[in-house]
Amino acid sequence: MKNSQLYKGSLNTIIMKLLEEKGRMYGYEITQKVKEITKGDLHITEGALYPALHKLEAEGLLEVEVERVDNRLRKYYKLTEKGTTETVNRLAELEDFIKNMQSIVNPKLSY
Amino acid sequence: MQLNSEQVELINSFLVKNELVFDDMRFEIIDHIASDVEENYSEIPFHEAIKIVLKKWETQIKLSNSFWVSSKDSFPQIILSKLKRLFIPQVVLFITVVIIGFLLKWYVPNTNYTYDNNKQTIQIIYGIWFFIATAFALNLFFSKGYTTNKYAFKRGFYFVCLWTVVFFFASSQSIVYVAILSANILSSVFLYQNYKAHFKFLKRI
Repeated sequence: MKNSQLYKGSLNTIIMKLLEEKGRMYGYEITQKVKEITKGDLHITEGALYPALHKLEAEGLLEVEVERVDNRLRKYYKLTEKGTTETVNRLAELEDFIKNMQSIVNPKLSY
Repeated sequence: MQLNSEQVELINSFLVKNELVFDDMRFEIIDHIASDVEENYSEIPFHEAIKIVLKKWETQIKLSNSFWVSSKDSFPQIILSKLKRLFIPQVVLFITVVIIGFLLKWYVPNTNYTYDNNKQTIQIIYGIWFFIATAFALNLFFSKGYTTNKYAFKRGFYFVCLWTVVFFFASSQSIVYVAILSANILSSVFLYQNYKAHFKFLKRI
């Protein structure tokens, strides 16, 4: 992942936000969507994505649906009810963080 | 270019050969690799495309070791990170309860408590628990599919069996042994979580 130290703490929130918008997604689709939104600036590696997805699933924030697509099985992730609530909280937290960073980095633009 | 069954099977064989043996993780990695080949390298032959894509997975597929799982290079990094998450809570619980047992034995007054004080009661409670745990274990061992949760359950259950044997054959049965049995019983929480997750996965596929 590019600039891993800065992005690392927000990976789970990024995943949850995407799932909130799209309903359900599979691993590869998430990496491509992030790449597309950030115009290739942010690349989520496989080594970061799957442990994050599995952890969110273990915490009960995501649930899994498995479907046969073409010649293989595909694992779709979607937010649980708890996950949907948690996404709102985490996004609010992230927005606060961005605001605070904005105040520090560029005080003139902050409000 | 959509991959055919043989090409998907080739990816599967490669992963199994590299110890990515757990169905719950292998299926999604196969899908990830296949999707990458289909979407980004459809213009070049499969055998060249797969080399490029597998190169991206090199660090994750490379056999590694972990203090919590195995000292040998036995599983790919991506599997180790999941197994670690499954093992650590059970090991931490076990160590904590045993340390409490030792502390009670050494620092609390009247530490002449021995297992013999309540031998029969403890044996009956533990025996019933162990019988139930074994029934769950057998059901899991004979189920189809091989998941990280099945592996974690197996490891946890073997650990429990080992301490059960030590307990019943030990000559001095102090409060430390009672602590070990309690830790075993408390580890049911983790065993059951893994049991449930394994069958939940089987139900989905």
